[in-house]
Amino acid sequence: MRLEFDRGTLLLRDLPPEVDAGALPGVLWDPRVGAFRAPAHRRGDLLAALGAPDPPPPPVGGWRPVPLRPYQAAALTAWEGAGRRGVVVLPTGAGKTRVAVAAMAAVDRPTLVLVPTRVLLGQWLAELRRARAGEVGVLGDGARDVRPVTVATFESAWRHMSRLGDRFALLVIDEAHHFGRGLRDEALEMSTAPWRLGLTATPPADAAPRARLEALLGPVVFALSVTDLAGRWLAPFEVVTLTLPLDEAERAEYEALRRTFLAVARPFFRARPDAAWTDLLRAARESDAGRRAIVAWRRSRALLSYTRGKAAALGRLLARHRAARVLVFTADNAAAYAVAREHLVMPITCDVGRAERADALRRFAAGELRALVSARVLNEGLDVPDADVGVVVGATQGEREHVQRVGRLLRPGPGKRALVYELVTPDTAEVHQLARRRAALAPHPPAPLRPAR
Amino acid sequence: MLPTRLLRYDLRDDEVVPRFLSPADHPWLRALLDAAAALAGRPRRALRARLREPLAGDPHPDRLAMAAHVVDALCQGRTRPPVPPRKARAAVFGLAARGGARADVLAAAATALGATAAQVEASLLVDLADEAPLGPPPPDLDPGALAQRVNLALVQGLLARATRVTVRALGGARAVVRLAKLQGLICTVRRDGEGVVLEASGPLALFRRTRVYGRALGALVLPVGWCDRFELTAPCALPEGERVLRLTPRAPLLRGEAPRRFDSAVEAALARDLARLAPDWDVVREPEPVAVGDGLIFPDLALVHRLDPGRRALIEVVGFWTPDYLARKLEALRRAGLPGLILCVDAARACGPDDLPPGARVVRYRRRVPAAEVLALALEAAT
Repeated sequence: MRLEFDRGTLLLRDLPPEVDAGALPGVLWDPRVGAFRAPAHRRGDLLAALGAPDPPPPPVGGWRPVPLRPYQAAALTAWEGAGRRGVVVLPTGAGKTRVAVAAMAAVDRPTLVLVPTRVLLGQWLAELRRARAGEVGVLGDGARDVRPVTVATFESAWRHMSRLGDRFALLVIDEAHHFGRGLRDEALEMSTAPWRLGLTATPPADAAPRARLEALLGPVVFALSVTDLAGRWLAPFEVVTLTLPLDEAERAEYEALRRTFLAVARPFFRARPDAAWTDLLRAARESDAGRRAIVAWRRSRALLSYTRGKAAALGRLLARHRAARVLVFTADNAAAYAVAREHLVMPITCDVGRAERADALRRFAAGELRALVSARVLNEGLDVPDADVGVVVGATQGEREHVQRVGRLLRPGPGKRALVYELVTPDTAEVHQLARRRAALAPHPPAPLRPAR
Repeated sequence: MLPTRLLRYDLRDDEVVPRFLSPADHPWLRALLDAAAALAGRPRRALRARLREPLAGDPHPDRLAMAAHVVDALCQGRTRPPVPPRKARAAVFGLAARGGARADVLAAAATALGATAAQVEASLLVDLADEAPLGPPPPDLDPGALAQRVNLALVQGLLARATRVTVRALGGARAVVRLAKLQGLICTVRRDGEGVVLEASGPLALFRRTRVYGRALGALVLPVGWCDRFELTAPCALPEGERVLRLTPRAPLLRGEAPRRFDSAVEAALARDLARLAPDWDVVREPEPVAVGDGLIFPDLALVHRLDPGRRALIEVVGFWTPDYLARKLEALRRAGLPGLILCVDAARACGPDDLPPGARVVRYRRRVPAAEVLALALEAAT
């Protein structure tokens, strides 16, 4: 019997007559091609059910020793103990990449690393070129060079996994919380890789995506929070909240926009107390008042993203911390560019090319740039040089985003104490968001250590 | 293709009916194009800001959002800023790190770059997405053409949520099959009266709705539009549940460019060479599909004798192949009573050992198919 990889699935060929293919895990009859078919990620289950051998591909070799901190070694041991499947949860700056490289060296088989952005693609390439002798493949950011160890953006992996899904034995998924919600999951489903390692600082809180992630990658096998590591492995930090009222004109506009929004939202949620935000959006499409309400809500958020009070406060903070390295976080690119223009701060956004971004980070590390401003790019994974002051001007992505942003500042240094300023507009929706963000920095409950499937 | 949040449609029983733009929308589409033209050279965000204000013709906000998305994609501007933006950023933000008032920093950067402070400031972010300038709308884009483009983007957005596409087509189905296969879809075809029924889906569709092939399914709309008659149906997974999209030639969509006459330059050259070598024979492009087993195959060429049309041979130019694939194909042709079909295989595209099944009417080629060899086999097959 042969399992033939076919565009992200497996076709079962030359089945012995005694095998009841329909009873095998994940297998369905495909009348389109007249054969039994299974999703590629069920390959291990299929081979186990058939009692067929699964010889691993040849080693890739070339790995250099990877020194690990005690908690990183513990994370690796937990993952190995769970059958080389599972998710490691570590705060930003704690060295998740190092754990992954050690796992790749331990497995020493063809590996595909999936990363969310082009920025992280470059960073992983640099890390792997240091960790291993030999070429590293790239899939994404205009490159299509597939090798036994390859780094791909989520988008490229999603587009090409139907052709590449049988080439790798290990998948490493950076910022794994992006999976488990549907669309991107297909990239993981189309791979036959038996071993999988997810990395994240913020695993999904909702039950459904968490269960889906567990099915595709394995359970959370190791978890530590910022507060677990702050003080020794991460720098201690302090959060200062500045409340900055709207001016008169802004307040009048904000209140008018909120009235328009609440005129629809309040009765909706009163009638349907269990409804979700997406239910409101769907219902709002159906009436002029609803559509106006959503437009008003968007405009109110845009207004809060960079108020005149925030602009002035940011100017004062940049002046006060002129000698420090400062990261400014905004809600969107428009606000990031407004900050860049007004305060002459280098923007790091998805629109800035890789070479320029790398040059900006190098200059920031060397002290040639005093500050960087970004909406999303600095949130995740990017290895930002030693910054010690963060200013959160605006946020849209909730608690997860906040944990990641704070993590940007926690690389430890002698006597270092990081400082995070949160600019909040009183008597607006931002106040509730602030409370939720604070709660997200609390310690993780211990991860249940249990074996993968 | 419109993103999901912009898709506008009605639900009628089990069907999803796109809210197509129509001639009634042309007045405000004209106003939209005028607004975009007036803002050419300004940052792209300026158009969004403009569209928050009232627009002549008082468009429905949902319809306006669909059209604005398409216009934004069509009006990509090009700019030659006075100072290369990257140089401007390197100078300005580097000087800002040393301290000083904003105006002084810009003046110092201007001196270093040999420009004015205003030029430096204008160049600073001009190449970055929303800050980049809006271009003028394409000159041939009138309200009618824009409406058709928006309608096409709407249909493709819906098809991106489809699990499969079924097309009943008369004439021109070959281009649809060709594109479906190029896009990695599983494509089954069967005869239906004078026409064919074609069903395209992704391999994973067997297990669940998948978006990987949504874009590929959406791309099929363009060649389908060139079929003489067609009905396209596709079950689409919408937030409200699964609904069926139905399209006929009456749908007011942009048709796109006509499908290419030949699959490849290789096929075109072979047709030319055969016509030259065999003046008594007609070289027929895209002859009628032929039933093989449960499906149909689409030969690339037929060679038909001008005086005796009963004498004919079919020719197919094969792309990537393996010996297994060829063996299965030749066996299917034999069982279908079509042993005379001549396969031309590219020696450079052999996916595995390149040994050919014995006794097969197969011509191996590199770059150009040897027409004389094909003709010799064709004469043999057609007797």
